[in-house]
Amino acid sequence: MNKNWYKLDNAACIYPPNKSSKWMATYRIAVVLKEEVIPDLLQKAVNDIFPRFPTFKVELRSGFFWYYFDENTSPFKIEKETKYPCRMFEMRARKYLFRIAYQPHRIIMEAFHVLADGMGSLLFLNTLIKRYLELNGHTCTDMTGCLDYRDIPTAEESEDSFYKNADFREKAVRKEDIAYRLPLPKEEPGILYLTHGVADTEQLKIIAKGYGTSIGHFLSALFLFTLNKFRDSNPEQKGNRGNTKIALTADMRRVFESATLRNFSAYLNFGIKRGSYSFNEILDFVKENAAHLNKEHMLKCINGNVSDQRNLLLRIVPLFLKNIALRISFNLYGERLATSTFSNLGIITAPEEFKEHILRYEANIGRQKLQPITLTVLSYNNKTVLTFSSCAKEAIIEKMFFREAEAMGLNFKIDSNRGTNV
Amino acid sequence: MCKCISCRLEVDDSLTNCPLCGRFINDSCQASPFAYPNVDKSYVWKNSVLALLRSIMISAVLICGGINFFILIFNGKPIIDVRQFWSLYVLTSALVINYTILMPVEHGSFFWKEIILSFFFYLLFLLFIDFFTADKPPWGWSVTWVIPLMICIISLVFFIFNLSGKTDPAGSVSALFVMLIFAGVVFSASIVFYTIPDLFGKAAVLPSFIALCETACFSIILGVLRRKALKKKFHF
Repeated sequence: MNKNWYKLDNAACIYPPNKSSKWMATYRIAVVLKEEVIPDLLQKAVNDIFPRFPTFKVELRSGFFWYYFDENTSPFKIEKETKYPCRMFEMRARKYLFRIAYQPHRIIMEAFHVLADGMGSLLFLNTLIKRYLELNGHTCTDMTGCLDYRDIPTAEESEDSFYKNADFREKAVRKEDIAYRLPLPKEEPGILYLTHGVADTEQLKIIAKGYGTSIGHFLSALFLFTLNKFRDSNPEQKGNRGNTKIALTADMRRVFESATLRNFSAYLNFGIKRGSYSFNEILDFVKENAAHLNKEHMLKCINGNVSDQRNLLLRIVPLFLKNIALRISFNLYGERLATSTFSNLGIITAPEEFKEHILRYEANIGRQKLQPITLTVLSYNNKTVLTFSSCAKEAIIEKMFFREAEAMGLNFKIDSNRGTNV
Repeated sequence: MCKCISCRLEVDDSLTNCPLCGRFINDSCQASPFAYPNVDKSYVWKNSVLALLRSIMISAVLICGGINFFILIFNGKPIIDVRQFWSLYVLTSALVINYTILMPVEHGSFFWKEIILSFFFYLLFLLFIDFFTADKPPWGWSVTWVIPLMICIISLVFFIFNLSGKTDPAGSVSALFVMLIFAGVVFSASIVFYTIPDLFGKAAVLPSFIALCETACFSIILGVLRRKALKKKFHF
């Protein structure tokens, strides 16, 4: 596998044209270590694993018809985190589309969504942590959830799995009602607050089982319940009468047996009409709707997106005109169709030896264009970490969510970067 | 264990205030090594400054445009002189500043794209000056002399930069192709100027012909030398 440029995958095509001064689709995965991070070793670990991930060693370039990734030969430097999370990336020559940062006890990976989705980046981060621990003198032989940095990259890792799996039979219907928008005053662009709630996974499992459901469905129902409760407690704004909807994301790698390191996830929007609902009613609704996020739905989404990309008329249009069309498309079918996003990374698979060194994983979506708050959930080593990423000035939704959880007997320990500006 | 009395939630030991309600918890909390470090917020102001500059420019354009419009309307005389539309000077200047200074600062766009954009807006600026300062035909010095000269210089810059290997080869060749198309348009315009002397005066065709030839030569040479780079640039 010796390629020095790549086409963007199907999902990635939407991100570069929609990047603005205020918004860029980014996300962040962090690992909280028990020991203090040694920057020199981290830099060496990055340098060691970099050749194994050629799809990350790229810069974004604009072609005449499409954007493309070109090999980036400039040295990659890790950085100490002194700014707000999920800052924008520069889309220019010799600039990488992800960053590795560190705090005294955190190793952080932030990436522009054009590069890979959360699961692809998680594989990169796990491989990095493994190499870092090895350089730090720890033995780490288990290869679960990471790659061997000495292996040669395979073609499957850089494939566009959307294209590979499309069968063009049935397409998903994109037309949806617009969603209720949270009327929360926002901070200036560039500011993002993270609020983590750490809970015991076993306790969470028992409570979810008590409701006859899984942790993922239970938390998404609780989130939708909180959003609806907030809406009920706030007078309706004029022109803001959509349903309270959340976007659920799902990794398609297991369903379609893909080994790609690039984007390969699907989403489903669903929501409730305005009104008062009990938690059980919302939970039933979530269970019923989340079941639609199956292989059939995913295939329909893939078919719809890929056939658009294959459309001859769209292909022959120069990039600057395509950008306009993609901007309109994103404004019509993007964030405005959901009040918020609930992203569940599930149980993190990582080498067994990581448990001795890692306290927890954290993940979050970057600042959104329209949604002031999003929620990301993951579990690792019997700890479930919920991360609210918010650009709202006040933590109203977070407070309501954790109070509801507390009332159900769930104990969260809260941590946040709110109040850390100097 | 720190607990917020107001939220009734357990918060991280490192926090002195509740992150959800801001209430002071207690001062026995110590700085935890796992806590988030302090954030330097100063970089956030860049966007605010850009927004302020843009607002000033938009206001200037609207105010000048409004005054110009009302003067023209209430003057009562027929509009025979294009120089009466003086507010277009302000609009063009605002466009040049926005596309050549503010947008690159804001978006961090590509080097070649910035040069091309700057070039087109300076040309627009020149055309406006040429258009508004001409008393009567002959006019069109911008099309016949200045623009061809600018095309020659910029094409040469692209060519030298490309051969030096310090820039993206595909980027500068594509930029050169754009210049070639533009040189063709300018050459055609100067021929029109030449063939309709009553309307435009007798204009010189030679400068734009030289510009077209130079750009075409550079494009052919670099197109052959950088064909691999162009393959990815024009992937379909």
